[in-house]
Amino acid sequence: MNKPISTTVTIIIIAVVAILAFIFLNKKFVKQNYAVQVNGVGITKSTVNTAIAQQLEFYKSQNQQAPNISTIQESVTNALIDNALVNQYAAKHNITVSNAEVNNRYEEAVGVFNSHNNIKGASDSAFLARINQMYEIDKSEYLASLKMGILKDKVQASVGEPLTKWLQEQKKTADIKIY
Amino acid sequence: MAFEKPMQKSRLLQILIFLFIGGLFLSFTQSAHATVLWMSGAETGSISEAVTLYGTPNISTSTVRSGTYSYETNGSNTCFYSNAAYTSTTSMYTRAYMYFTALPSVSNVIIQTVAGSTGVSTLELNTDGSLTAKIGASSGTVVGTSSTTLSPNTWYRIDFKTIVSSTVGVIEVRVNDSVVITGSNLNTGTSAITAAVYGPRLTTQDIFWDDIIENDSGYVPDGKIIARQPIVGTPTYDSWTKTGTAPYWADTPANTANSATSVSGTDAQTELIGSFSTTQSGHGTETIGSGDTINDMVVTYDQKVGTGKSGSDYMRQRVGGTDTDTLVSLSTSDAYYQGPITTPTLTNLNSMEAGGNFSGTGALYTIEDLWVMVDYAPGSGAPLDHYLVTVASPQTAGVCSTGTNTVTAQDSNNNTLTGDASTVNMTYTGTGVTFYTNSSCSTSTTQYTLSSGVANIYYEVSSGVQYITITATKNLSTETGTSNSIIINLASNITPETSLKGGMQIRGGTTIK
Repeated sequence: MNKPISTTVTIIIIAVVAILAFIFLNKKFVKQNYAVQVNGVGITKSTVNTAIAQQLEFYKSQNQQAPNISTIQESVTNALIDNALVNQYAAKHNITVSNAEVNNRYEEAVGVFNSHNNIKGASDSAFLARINQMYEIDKSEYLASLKMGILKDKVQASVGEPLTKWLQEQKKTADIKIY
Repeated sequence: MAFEKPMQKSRLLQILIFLFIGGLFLSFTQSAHATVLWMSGAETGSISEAVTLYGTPNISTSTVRSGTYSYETNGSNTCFYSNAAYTSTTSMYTRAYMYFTALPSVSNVIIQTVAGSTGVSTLELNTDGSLTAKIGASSGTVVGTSSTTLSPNTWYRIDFKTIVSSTVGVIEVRVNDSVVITGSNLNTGTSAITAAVYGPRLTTQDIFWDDIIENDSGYVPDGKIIARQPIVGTPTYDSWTKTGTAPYWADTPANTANSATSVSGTDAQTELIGSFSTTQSGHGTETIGSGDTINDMVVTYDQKVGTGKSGSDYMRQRVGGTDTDTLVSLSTSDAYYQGPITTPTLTNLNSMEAGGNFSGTGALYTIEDLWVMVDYAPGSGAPLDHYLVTVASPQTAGVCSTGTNTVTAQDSNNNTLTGDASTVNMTYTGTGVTFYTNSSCSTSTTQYTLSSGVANIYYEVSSGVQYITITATKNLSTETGTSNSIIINLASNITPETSLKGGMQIRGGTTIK
């Protein structure tokens, strides 16, 4: 006659099964929601799709036939990985971008646009209309991209070497998972 | 119980060598920032930042090279000299930007190095705008007169070098980085220089001075001195007694309305400093960008100490999360003091704090105001205006592009923005252009990220014969640039017949008609 399984063993079995289930479901969840993970930080599929859509809109605005979608996807994924690495370095080294810096850069960009288009004054309405027409983005999305740009400039200054070279080196050692 | 073995002689020798080398290294690294003796852009807005020697030099806000203020020496014997943060030196390189409203009626002393009250070397501006350098005072031996002449109402960079030696002395003058007077193996005496004096000495002239640096080891690069003051925020150290409203050390020129005073014991007080990457009210319109080069930084204080103090006062600078305290011997009345000269990164500058640290009793260490002044060489302060797309032509269809093909970020004056790291999208006119990540054209891409303002581009055109252009547009923005036309030829192993498309008629293999 078999001995009855003790309570302790039962608890252990249930715990192991629960852990395995968690790992399995978590992996599935990650794969379902993330396109890429960079050093454990996920980039959602939604983010990648948004970037692809912006690229397609750009080519449309330029009356240019878009490259094939896989090339665009690879380019925007690479760019998003770059951004993630830049963000992680900045966080580690307390490199930040203030709202004042972003607003300053925004005013500069509007000024350049107005100058090229013979628009007098500092109004940003024509600029925002053009940005929206080119990428279907609004001001807050544009400011977010400016912030990222300033952060990249700062990280480049901080690492003391060309940003692309630094990024290539980082990618050799970073834990990057593309799903 | 275990006892350590007696140290072997060889081991002891190794340690001594290590300590010696370490000491040498430390001495070199410590002296790295000791070359700049004094710097001032007059950005405190007070003539007290320098030391008045003769007459009544002023602070100007109307004729300024950088920042908001400059020194104005208007009169016949009106000058100021560097605040003696150093005792003396036998080699002096002064960089000063000078602007005068009219040529002098007679040759006029404008810069002089002195040992106490005795001239070591003298620079004069002549009636025709030329410069004359002399050993000693204005009555001294002429070293040379420049063929270059200066004109009124123009900022000039003047570098004045003096090496003190009775046998191998040197006096040299540069104008806008070009040597205009030089003399070597001179007898410039044996008395070390204690200060440099700026201003007209012999006849009336109105001369403005800005962005002055004195160095003891070599010429100073081109630069501008701008200032930032404290801002409201939560500092790392916050234990002094405040007077007025925050920020307590941000008045220009200095006054006593807002200040902070230490209390007995061991306490420190700092304030956050305004970012150099954005403008700050009262400090001009300049900012420092990531492409600019930071030459030097100094914190200038207006401060004093009360009577009956027993302890030490330190000027505290917190840069990159590290505190540096510099002992200072304070007067009991407000006066200007200069902290150590260092060279932080822009990132650290934009997160720095400055203030004071007191250790002792009975203290009344009061900081009235402070200014962080930075000498920087503009690199890419101007905003991105466009991209320069440089391409090699001709190229061959079906072959990865050759030659120099780059995208360069530029400002409106076509200066390269060396700090730019923007990402560009690539488009083209023509047909069948594919962009790649590398020179073997193995991995296609739609974007390039610039490094230090430049990106190499690689592309291949599937079909010839045609003209194409390439355009780079900043991602999610409007800045753009288009190349000149690029001729796409047929590959040598392709016959014209195989490339005929759309009814093109090709003669001679490469010409579209």
